[in-house]
Formats: sequence, structure tokens, C-alpha cells
Amino acid sequence: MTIQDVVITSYVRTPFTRAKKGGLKDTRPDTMAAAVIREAVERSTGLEPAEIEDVAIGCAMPEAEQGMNVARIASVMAGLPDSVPAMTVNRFCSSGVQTISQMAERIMLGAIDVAVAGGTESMTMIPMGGNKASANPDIMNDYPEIYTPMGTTAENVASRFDVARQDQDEFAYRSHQKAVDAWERNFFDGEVMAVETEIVGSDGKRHETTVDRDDGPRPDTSVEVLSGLRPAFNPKGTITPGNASPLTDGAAATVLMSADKAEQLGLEPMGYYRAFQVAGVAPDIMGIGPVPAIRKLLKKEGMSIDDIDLFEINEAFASQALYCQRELGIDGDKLNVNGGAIALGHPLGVSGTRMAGTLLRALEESGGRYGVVSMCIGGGMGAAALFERT
Amino acid sequence: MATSSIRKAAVIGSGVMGSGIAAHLANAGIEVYLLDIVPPEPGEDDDVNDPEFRNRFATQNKEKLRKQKPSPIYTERDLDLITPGNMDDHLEWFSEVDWVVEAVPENMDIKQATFAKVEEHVNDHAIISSNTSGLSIDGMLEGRSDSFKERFLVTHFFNPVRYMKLLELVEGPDTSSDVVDTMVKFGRDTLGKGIVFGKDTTNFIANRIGVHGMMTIMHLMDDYDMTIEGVDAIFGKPMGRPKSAVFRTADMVGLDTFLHVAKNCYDTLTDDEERDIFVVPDFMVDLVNDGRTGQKAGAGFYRKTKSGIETLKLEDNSLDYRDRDKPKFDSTGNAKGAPADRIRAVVVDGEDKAAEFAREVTLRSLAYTARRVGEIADDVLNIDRGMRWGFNWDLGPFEVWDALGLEWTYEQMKNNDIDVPNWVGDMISGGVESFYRWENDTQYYYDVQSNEYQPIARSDRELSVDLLKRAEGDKKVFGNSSASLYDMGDGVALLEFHTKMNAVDPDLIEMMHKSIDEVESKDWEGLVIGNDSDNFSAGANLMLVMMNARAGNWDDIESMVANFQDANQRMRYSFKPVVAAPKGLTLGGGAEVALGANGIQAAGELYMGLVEVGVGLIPGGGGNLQLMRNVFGMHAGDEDFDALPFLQNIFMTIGLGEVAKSCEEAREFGFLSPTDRVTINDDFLLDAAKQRVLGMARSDFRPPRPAKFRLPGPDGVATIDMLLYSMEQNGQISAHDRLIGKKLANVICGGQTSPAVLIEEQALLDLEREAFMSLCGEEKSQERMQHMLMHNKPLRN
Repeated sequence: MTIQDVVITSYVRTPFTRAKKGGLKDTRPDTMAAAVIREAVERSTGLEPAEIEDVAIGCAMPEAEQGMNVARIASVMAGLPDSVPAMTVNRFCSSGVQTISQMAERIMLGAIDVAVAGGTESMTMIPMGGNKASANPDIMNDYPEIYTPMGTTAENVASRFDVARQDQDEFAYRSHQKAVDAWERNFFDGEVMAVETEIVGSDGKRHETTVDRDDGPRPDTSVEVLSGLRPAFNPKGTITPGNASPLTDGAAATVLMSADKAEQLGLEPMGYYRAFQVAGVAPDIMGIGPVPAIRKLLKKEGMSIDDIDLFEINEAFASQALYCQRELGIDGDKLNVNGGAIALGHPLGVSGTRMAGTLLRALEESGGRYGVVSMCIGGGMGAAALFERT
Repeated sequence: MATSSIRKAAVIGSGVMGSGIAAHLANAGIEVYLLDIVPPEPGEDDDVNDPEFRNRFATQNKEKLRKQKPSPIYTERDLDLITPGNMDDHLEWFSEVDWVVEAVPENMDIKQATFAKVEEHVNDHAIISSNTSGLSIDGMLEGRSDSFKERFLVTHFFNPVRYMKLLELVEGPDTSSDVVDTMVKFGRDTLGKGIVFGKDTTNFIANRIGVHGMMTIMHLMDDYDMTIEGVDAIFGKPMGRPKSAVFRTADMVGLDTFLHVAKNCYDTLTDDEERDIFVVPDFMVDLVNDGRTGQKAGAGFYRKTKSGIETLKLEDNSLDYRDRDKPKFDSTGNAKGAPADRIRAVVVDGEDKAAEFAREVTLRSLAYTARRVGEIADDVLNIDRGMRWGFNWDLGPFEVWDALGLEWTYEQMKNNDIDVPNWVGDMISGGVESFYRWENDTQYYYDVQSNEYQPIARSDRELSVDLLKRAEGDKKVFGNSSASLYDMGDGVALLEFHTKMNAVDPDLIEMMHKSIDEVESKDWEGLVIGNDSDNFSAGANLMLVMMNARAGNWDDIESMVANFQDANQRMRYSFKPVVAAPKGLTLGGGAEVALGANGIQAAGELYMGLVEVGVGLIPGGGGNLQLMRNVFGMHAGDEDFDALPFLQNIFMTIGLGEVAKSCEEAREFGFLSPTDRVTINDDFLLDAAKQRVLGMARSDFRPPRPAKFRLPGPDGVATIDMLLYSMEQNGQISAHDRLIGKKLANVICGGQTSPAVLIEEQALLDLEREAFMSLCGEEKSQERMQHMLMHNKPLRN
């Protein structure tokens, strides 16, 4: 059996907008997913929808509006024929890259040839924890850490590993600066699609609108402003709404295929999918997850940190992202060069797809070769994926 | 013809008074337009045609209502009733309203221009009034039509409008009596105010007498070597005045406002024999010029610093501050008991410097007030009410006079060459012994004009335990040391609590059972639970619970709790209607009594909450069940019903010991149900509750059916504990808080049940009792009880 090279031929995302306030607050997650699937397929020019052999959509809270196997609903809405199957994938915040890995590895094996992978999340419609959170009494008794809320895990990382408030605020400020700069130099134009949708006003009526820009990046913020914010979780802690990622709505999709297929269609690949690893950590400090995940990934691939040109490490919280950067010894110039989730937002099941796509585009811009996408995962995990620019 | 009912109003001027009046109208459910001027000086970025800019003053002042403390509104939803606008673009609104009240700056030209605008647009039946505190009616009405003048009067509210009972009404020469009647009824019944009739004289009644009294003190304090704290120590509780006494009251009111009122007196009261009293001391002018206007500026007579409260060094003629001291005087130390006893202890029996000072001030103030009868009001009654309702004095001047003795006081005045009007001497020589007297349940005041006692008119809605006690014939059915049952007429019984703070104890619970036995077995229509105190009930008798817990008398605690649960359940499910009439503090066990009734007739000022967590316990008299029943009882048994979101809210309400700060907030927490009603005027509360009982009894009352519950059981407890765990991690709660929280969660989630099963109310009561008992046995909970009893503050342990 020969292992196929897998390439990403297109990537697109909706703008990321603030939950309950932003332009996508009234757009259903299945509708958002359908929009990005349709657009990603169209951007792989020449690909016939019927040639797609599977669709995987990541979603961290796959219920209600994004339940009923949202991937299948969205595929049909995107105009893919009934013959194209679809599945929803959930490993919380890594779901959006988990889908890429899962589809890519099916292609590597030769089991399928073309797939769509992405993610969707409406944090407006489905709260973190879902509509009906329910804890198991036994584990609540024996190991309550497993349910530690994310904010608390970020506080734990900050206090246990001495990540100072000032450093977190500066990290957050840089995230905004980079994202604002990326928009200003039109970098994001290459990946963000305009969404024609409706928004419900205070009159209770639907109004047509076009959402074409992320609403998170703040050109006017400063370390002073950020340092004035009050802690959001622990009154004596350091995590604030300013140095944590906001609740966000959005969707993203990629088209993956074997290198042979891409060549056959005459498509210019964005890059290769190479490898993916997940590692477990203590759940009450889940934010450190990228450290063992990236180490495991690089070790298996026989590579070192220095071999990697660019990193996308999810900024769930500045405390954990900064800890990972320091612990792994990553040069700041290589990290999240177009801003991260603190500025852009973090629709849970989507961020993995966004980071993979944006990483390949950033490698293209900078002329780099290898890139790593990584994130922490609630419950105590980290995931990391390796990509190579063609 | 003027309107006889007010359904919609307009307030002009959105400052402290205007917005306060608008807020209280909204409290009473009246729609109101709040109008102010268009900002005269647009900024660079302002669009002068944009309504946002043009309505800015009124809009901003409306917004401020949200944040003010104490809150001028019952609920944020009141704000929906207030529509801001401006005096250029929205004049046509005047045509829609039944009442226009102005609270614009106290400047004659502005007032006149305002009324000219109003007259152009107002309809022909609306009542128009001014909230002026001193300008003459004739002056304000210059140029107005006869019809306008007939429908005009002064309606002078006191700040903060929601909380101050006084509403001074002053008629103009042309005001029609219908207009006055409508305003009396509206002010009293709808807004819950106490009406006082003043005359068109400077600062009317309360401010005239109040400021004169304060100025007298300021002028005399030097003669007696009194410090600021000394004055406040005497003229607070010992003299039957509010705790803020003189100088702290001035700080609260604002030195600038105080100064303005005093100056207005001096400038216009040119014939006043004590005009010079109103000359403001230079140091006060200096303080105001320095911006030290009192509480709002952070400094006045007192100043709050990080290390504590400081006082102005007036005794050294200095405007610097020093640490506050706590002077003690023998005379004020002996002032105990009812207000009349306290005042007598100082003024009559006191022998120290403080007593001499209080004596001179009192004699001078009373004599001055007596000389004002006929000038500022027709009678002593309106003056006394003005001071009680407008300045929160326990007794008005003539009631103080009665407390000191009519003749004794008169003699003292004569001996000290203080000018007393002749009619006082005539009263005494005519054998009259006091300004007030009771005959059965009618109170009389001595009317100076007719030289005879006149009955004090009373609305037929006024009802109190005091009046029942005074009424002819024995109205008491039975009672013990903690509670009594009265016949309040028309077949309705009234259960009155009369323990300290109306705390719930075993004797009181026994009376609950006995009362329901009586009402059910005999020919009663139903039962009201209520009393005359400021506070319905502050909760269970904590001392008793703690002593029993410390002594390990578990059976005593358990039987008390079980009896209390049963009593509350019987109130609800007996076949005679029970209505509770809570007001003021209605906490813990007190809240449970109210929640047990078939209906609540609440006072506007209702501070209700299940606060047991603060003393390391959870509600034990059925409070958990009662709140669940109120919030989601109707759906609690539905197949597929998910109780958890509701339980989480209830958990927070009880777990954080939330106290509603008004009747409407109590409704938002679920303590009141949508059909429960509010009576803003406390004097009418018991009668309203009685009418409610009669309405229920005469419309085929049947007890409600008990609720059945589908509850999440252990999964729900674990899910709530997830939240507690994270709060503990974040240092927001202690380990003991979490333990209490888990026990509370276990009760409201139904213990070991599952959503597949329907459980009965009694099962929840059993869980509640079990949890209550187990917390009583916790050392840390006992420490909390002890701390609360000793320090009157919750302990966090």
C-alpha cells in the first residue's frame, strides 16, 4: 500500500463575529457551514461536487441548531449531492483540525480521494457546556478537576507557572496589533468570504445584512486599557475579558485531496498535510496541552522546534498560550503572525480549521516551509498538526 | 373641568427632584414623560438635529436612575414607563397627560416661561403643579388664564421621592377644590404619600421648621461648647430624630441645598421675628465655596477617608478635619424606650451640658413653631405630620411638647423669656392638657382656630392593630407572648406577630396553628397575617436555634422546624383563604410565612429574601419548596420538563441570600407571584389584605392543589456542585459555603429522585428538614450563627 501525499487545495472562512452581538448572531451554524462548504468547493476550481467522498465538520457542542449531524445538514444545504456522506466530529477545541487530520489520513491510505474538512460553531445559539450540562455524581466526587471550567484552568496555569498579568495583557495587545495589521494589508481578504445573511433587530424583525469582516480586532486598544479590566473568573486572579478569547460565531472549510488528484484537476495546492498528534494533560491545567502535543508530534517526525518556520497556537487565554510559547522556546516572530483568537475570536470547533488555513497562507507570504497548528482542549488535552508548504 | 383621575403624567425638569418624581410615578405604574431643555451648548461632535442630542439631558438623567443608591425605582422595568424628551420638540405630549408637574430651577422667569409653554399645549382637564419649595404662586401664574389657575397647585415632594412620605400641597387663591381632592387621592392612594396642607409661604412647612431648628442649633452650639459629634449624639436617637441627626443630615441633603433654603428664608421672610437665625454662618459659605458640599462631594461636616470618618474642627474655628470622636453624655445615655420617654429623659430629667443645650434648642424651636400656627399651616396636625414625614422625626413639635408636658414647657419658656403665643396660655387656663388625645379609636388634635379638639380625619382604608386595640369592644380573639389573633371586621381574622423584630419562635408557630384551627372551624371568611411594625419579620429566632444546637437539643430543633413547615403548609392548604401582608424586612422564616399564604399583599417597600445561608443554614420552614412552587410549580410535573435551569436560578437566589430591595424585585426573584398585589401606602396595607381575603372568600375560594415535581436528583446536585467547585477554586466561596451549597442543591434537586418520578411536596420538606438539622450540627454553621448574634454581620468561614 502506498501512502498518498495529501494537499489542501482551498480554504475559506466566514468572518468571526462576537456571540450575541455580532453580525452572525442570528445565522444558524448549519447555514454558516453550508456557506463555507459551497465556497471552498467552488474555490477548488474544476472539482465536481459528486467527486467528494466525505465531509467532516468539527463542532464542540454538536446539539440543537448544530445537532442532528450538522455536517450532513450543511452538506445538503451546500448543494452537495445525496451521495456525498458527512460526519460531525467533536474533540472540543481541536475539532476543526481533527476533521482535517481524519479526512487527510483516509486520503493518505487511499481509502478516499477527495474530502471536505472544516468546522462550525454558533456560540450565540449553543452555550459552552451545551444546553443541558449534566455532571456525573461519581466523578464529581472523585475527580471534580475533570469539569474545571476553562477560565479557572487559565487562572491555574497563570498562578502555577507564574504568568504575570502584565505579560498576559501585552500578549493580548500584540494579538490585536497583528490582527489589525493583517486586515489592513488585506491579508485576510484571501480567506474571509462575505456572508449575505439576516440579523434580528430590537424591533424583532429580520434585516438583510452583509457580514464581511471580523469584529474582534481592536485598533484602539492598548496595554493600559487592557490592564484596567477586572478579572472575569477569580476576583483576585489575572484572567480578564481582555486577555481571554471572546465567545464567537463562525465557520470554516477546506478541500483536501491526493496530490495526484490535484495535479489531475490542475489545482495549485496550498500545502501538504503531514501529521497529527494528541496528548493528555491534567484537566485543571488543560491550557498547557500544546506543549506535550507539539513535543510528541515533532519527536515522531524527527524534527525540532527550530525546524518549524511558523506556529499557530490557539490563544484560548493569553496565560496558557504564553506559557506554551515560553516552555517550548518559540520565537515570538514565528507565533500567530496574523493575530490569534484573543483578537479574532474562538468559535470552538472552527479554530483548528482557521489556524491550518491561515498558517498555509502565512507560510506562502513569508516563504517558510513547515508550520505547526496546535491548541489546548477542555478536559485536559492538546493537539498538534504539521503542515508543509508546497 | 379638571380630571378626577391621573393615568399619565409629564414631569418638566429631569434633575434630582424631577427624575425622582418620574421614577416614583413609574413605581406606581403611571406612564410619564420626562422633559428637559435641549442642551444649550452643543459640542463639536453634536448633531443639533439629532434626537439623541436634543433629548440628552432627560435621557441621561433617566439613565442615572438605574445607578442611584438607594434606588429610586422598584425595578429596572419601571424605566420602560418613562419616556424622555425635550421642551422644544415634544410640547404636544402635554395634550395627552392628566398631570403636568414642573421641577425646573427655582427661578421665577424660568417658571413663568415654562408654564406659558405648558398652557399653549396642555389639554383643558389636566392638573398642573409646581414642585417649587418656595416661590410664590401668584408670581408663577402671572399671565396664565383663569382655567389654568383653577387647575394649578404646588405639589412639593421630598428627596428621595420614593422613600420620603411627605407631599406638601399648597393651594393658590384660585385652585378649585376638585383639583385638590384629586391630588390628595392620587398622592395618598396611588403614590403612598402622606399629605400635608401648607400655605403659600417661604419654604412651606417642613423645610421652614426643619431649617430653623438646624440653624438654631448651629447658632447656639458655641455657647455650650458643643462639637459636631456632640450635636449629632444628642439630636439623633435620644431626641427622637433620625440617626443622621443634624450635621450628617446636612451632609446628606447637601450643604449647597441647605444654604439655598436658609438664604431663601432670610431673603424673603423680612417680617420673621427670628429672621437673623437664617443668616448662614461664614464657615458654611466657605465650605460650599470650597466645593465641600457634603456626601455627594465626599466631604462636608464629615469626611470619609480610608482610615475612617473625620470631622470638621469647628470647635477651633478651623475648616480642617480631625478624627471623629464619640462623645458620651449622661443624659442621652439615660434616654431609653419610646421616643417620648427618650426626649423627656434628656430635656426634662437631664442635668448635664447636653441636656441644657437640648432644652434651650427645644424650647426655642417649639416656641417658634407655635408662633407659626396660622401662618404656615392652619393647625398643629399639619406641622407635626410635616416634620415626621419630611424630616423623619419620631414626633412632631407639638407631640414633643405633649411628651414634655404642655404646662411644664410653657412655664420653662416663660421663665427663659421666650415669646410664646397667647393661645397656649389660653389653652392651659382653659384646662386643656395636651395637643392630642384619643377617644376609643379616634384621635383628636387641639385646633387653635376653633379653640377645641377636632377629630383627625382618617381614610376608611386605614387599618392597624393599634386601631383595633383602641376600638370599642374587645377585638382580640386570643394570643400569647409572641402573637395574637384579632377580629379585623367583616369576618376576617388578623394574626399579628409581636416578638422582637417579629422573629419566629415556637410560641408564634403555635399561634399560627391555633389561628388556622380557629378560622377553619368557625365562621371566619379567612385570615390576614400582618402587623403594624416597620418590618413584617426578620426571620426565625436565631438565638433559640443556636442555643439548642450548641446544647445538642436536636429534638427541640427538629420539632420546631417540623411544626413551622406544617404551619406554613396548613396556611396554604386550609380551605379558608390566607393573605400575608409583608412590608420592610421579610427575611428567612418571615419570608416563609409570607410564601406559605395563598396570596401576598405587599408593601412597596418590601425587603424580602431567604437569607439563611448567611448564618450557615438553609431555609427550614418550607422556603425551598415554596420558591420552587412559585417559580415553576405549574410545569413541575410535566413530562420532559427540565427543572435544572430553574433550579439553578433558585439555587442562586437562596445560595447567595439575595434580598429583594422592593416589591417588584421580590416578584422578579419569584417571592411574589404574578397575581400578588402591591399597596404603596402602608396605612392601607392591612385593609387591602383584608379586602383580598374577602374577594377570595366570596369568589369560591378553594385551596390550590399541591405541586408535584420531576427533579433531576443526584445528577442535578453534581451539576450544581460543578459550579460550586469552580467558585471554590476561584476563591469566591469557602469550603463550608460549598458544603452548605451542596446540601441546598440536594434539597431542591429532590435528593435521590430522578426525572422519571413525580415526587410530593412533603418529600421536599423532609429533605429540607434533614439538611437543616445536619447544618445545625456543623461547628462552622454554629460559628456563623453566633457571629451574627454578636456582631449583626455574617461571618465568612
